Amino acid sequence: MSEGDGRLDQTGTLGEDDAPLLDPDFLAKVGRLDIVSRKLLQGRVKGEKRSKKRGQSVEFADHRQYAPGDDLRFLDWSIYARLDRLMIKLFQEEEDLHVYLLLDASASMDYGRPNKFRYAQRVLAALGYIGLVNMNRVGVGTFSSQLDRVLRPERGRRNLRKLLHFLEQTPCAGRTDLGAACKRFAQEQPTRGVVILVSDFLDRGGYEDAVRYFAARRMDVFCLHVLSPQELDPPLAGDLKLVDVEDGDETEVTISGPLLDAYKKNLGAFLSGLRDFCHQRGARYLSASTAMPFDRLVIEQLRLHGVLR
Amino acid sequence: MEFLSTGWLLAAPGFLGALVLLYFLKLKRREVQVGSTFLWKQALDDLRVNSPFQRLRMNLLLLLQLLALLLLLLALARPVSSLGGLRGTDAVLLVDVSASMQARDGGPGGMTRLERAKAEARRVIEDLSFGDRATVIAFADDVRALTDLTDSKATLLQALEGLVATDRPTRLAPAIERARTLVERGDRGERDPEVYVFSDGRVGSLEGAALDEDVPFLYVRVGEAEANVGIVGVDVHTAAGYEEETRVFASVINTGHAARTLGIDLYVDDELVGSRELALAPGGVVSAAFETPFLGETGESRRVRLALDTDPAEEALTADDVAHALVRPPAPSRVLLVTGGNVFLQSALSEDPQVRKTPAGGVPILAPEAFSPSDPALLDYDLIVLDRVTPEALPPGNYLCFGAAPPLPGLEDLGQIEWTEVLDWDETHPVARFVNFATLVLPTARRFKLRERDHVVVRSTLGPLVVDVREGDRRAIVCAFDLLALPIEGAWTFDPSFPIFLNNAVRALSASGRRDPRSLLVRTADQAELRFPPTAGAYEVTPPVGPTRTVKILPGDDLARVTGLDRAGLYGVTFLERETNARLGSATFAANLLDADESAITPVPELKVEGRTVKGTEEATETNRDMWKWAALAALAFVMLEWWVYNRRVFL
Repeated sequence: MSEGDGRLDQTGTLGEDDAPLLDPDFLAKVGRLDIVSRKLLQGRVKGEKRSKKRGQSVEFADHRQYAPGDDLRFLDWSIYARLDRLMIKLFQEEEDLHVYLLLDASASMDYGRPNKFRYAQRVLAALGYIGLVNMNRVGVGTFSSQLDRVLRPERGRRNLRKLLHFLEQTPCAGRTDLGAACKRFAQEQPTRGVVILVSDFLDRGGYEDAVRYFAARRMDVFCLHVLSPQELDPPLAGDLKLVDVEDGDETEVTISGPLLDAYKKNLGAFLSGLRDFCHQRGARYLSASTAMPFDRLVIEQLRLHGVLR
Repeated sequence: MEFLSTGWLLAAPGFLGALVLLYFLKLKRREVQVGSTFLWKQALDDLRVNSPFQRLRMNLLLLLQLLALLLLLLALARPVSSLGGLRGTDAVLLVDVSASMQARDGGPGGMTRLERAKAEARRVIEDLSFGDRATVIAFADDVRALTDLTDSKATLLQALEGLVATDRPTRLAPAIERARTLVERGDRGERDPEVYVFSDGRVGSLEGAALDEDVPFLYVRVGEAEANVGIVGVDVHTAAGYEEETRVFASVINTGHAARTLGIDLYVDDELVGSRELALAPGGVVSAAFETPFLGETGESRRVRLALDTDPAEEALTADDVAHALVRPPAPSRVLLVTGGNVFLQSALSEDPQVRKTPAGGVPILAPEAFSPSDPALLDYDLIVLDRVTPEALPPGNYLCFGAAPPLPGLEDLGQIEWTEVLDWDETHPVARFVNFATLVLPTARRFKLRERDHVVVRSTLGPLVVDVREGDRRAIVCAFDLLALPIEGAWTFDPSFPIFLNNAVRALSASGRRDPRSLLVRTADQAELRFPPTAGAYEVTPPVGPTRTVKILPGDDLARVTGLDRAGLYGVTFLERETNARLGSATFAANLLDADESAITPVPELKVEGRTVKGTEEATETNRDMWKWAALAALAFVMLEWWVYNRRVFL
């Protein structure tokens, strides 16, 4: 029984909890990956990201009829010569992508073995790195009962150190209020982009508002739901007083087979409810146990779910 | 199933209720922090029903704890299986305390059979239920009830613990008779009698022993060992006139299944004076004879001890490996010859150094017509020789008869037989020792009809010739032939065997005489008969082991009869003056087991009592088995299961 200290699995580590946010081996594996947006997004700088908008670029996309005022530099003279028609060449417009990394830093995240918060930090660090090396603008926000800290979106590899420092210095405390935090974050970010929200979604107020706010801003939302193995299959027995780490709420239970079954059933319903809600709102959803190796999640699962390519 | 301590069962509802109550008490729960409780709250809401028993209903742990507690209470209530066990019974426990129960099975360190028997009997007593009664009866060849029928286990156990093995042979029949009397005296309508025998089964003849068919009879067999050798006969003889030599005879039996070679040592006053080596075939008997310088020259009794030199590892029973005897200077026997004239008897008896002579130098002679059975003077004689005389009656005494049957009930003269020869004779009989009957040729002889118990010493082709007859306090060696009718040429009367035969008869009959103060050697099963001074009012008996006891001499007692010879060895008897209790004199005698049946120690697998065959069991409680251990084990198993469930989260 590992709950002897009153706090489940806080003292033990599997090694991953002590590991640096990023290590060179991992960076070598993800060097060729990039963050993908499923939506047509708008950037401020013509950049490296392929946009669905047609525009000025080097990559040819299509032709259209010349209209007065069009830049004659893009007139396709060879068509004019052959067909005697004025056609303008359209090029795939490339933009820089805004990637918003949103980290749940409430007390409930500081739980489990491997620790959920550390796991989330590492995932976001990896995604931040991938975003920065691909010349995307990467912004970070952390929240608990409100939006606590925000790192303005920056681009370029040089900002990696700042991003990692930001993540490392994020405290993990307080209650969760997903709705308020996400609403605030969504309002503060003028530019649409990919929002990657990493949380355990254990919020008595519900997760619906959070997803809804981002969807309303037509953000490309990806919800990464992290849960510890101890939450998925609680190693509990006997007569216990369960204490909520966020609000100190106490619940007396006598662990029995039916109770454990009911808990697992509720947890399953909670996960499927969140997944269905995300899909309905056009958001992508992935639930992950912290038992899954971190690099496997990034390299396999996130690619599988179209977050990376 | 029956419970010996029902109090625990009566208290069971209280204990179980208390355990359930504990579950209703507010538990001090261990605090465990979780990420969020709201999923748990939902789960609880799903499960929670308004019934307060909801928690109990599904709680496997409580169920297991209740079961374990119930089994523990069951164990404390001491359940016994009641398959033929004690059912409100009167149990009669017959415990064998004979010599064979001293056998130590399993080597020198093993338990004696009596210890095993006591252990089994103790279990029966401890298993008695409330209201049951029992009695402990010890038996060897006699029966001693140690307790009445009582329900006091303490009394019964105390009596049982006090049992010690004797050096006596076994006869179970009187003990069964005592048990029968006891259980019939009890109220058969309300109580079930039950008779237990704790023995090795060497219990003598059970003929005549009877027990009602419906009375359960349980034979608890103890003992395993079979190998044993024992002294079954001993005799010490110093013939008057041959004082320079004392002869000591011993018969040794091997009751085991393997041949044995062992030594036998003769001690006189604890001094080793002789040793012989004996080779004993399985089941065989051999005799050892020692001839030693006269032992009684000081005029006082001397202690003779014969001891087998056995290996304790292969000898289970040592009680029969030693025999004691006393030797005293022989006194001449008083012999009366009743004859119409017999030169052979007259001269042989006159020459016999064992026979006290008249002042004239001869043996006292009485004419047949002068023999009056009522004459009190006859009682003074050690031996009366009846030559061709059949008196009307035979007064108590010892007789040697020639040519006619003495008037003893059942002994009949069937007429004359002619020209017969000796077929064989019993060399071990005292009168036949060193006697050659082969030269006895008989033109005529009498033919007797014998009783079954009469011992034939010499047998002819046509019937018994010499018979040892006992009838109460009368004993006779009856010779079917007339000495005067023997042929002159080569006659047996001229053979050296004849005076030896007479001498043997005088010695044997005198020694066994009822008035013979020299009855120094008895068996533990018998009684020693001693003449006492006329003014004696009591006598003290000092056994070889145990305290001295005083016995009063009652008016009319002609002899001091010392009984209760439980231990083999030398007994001292001191006579006390009637008024002053002054010491008047003392006597010593030796008591020995000398019982071949008792030396055969192989346990008997079954007993036959009046047509009923009872197989022996090794455990008295086989039909009344204590089951608390099983209940306790089951309780332990449930406690372990509960702990496992608690730890391994195997929930229903």
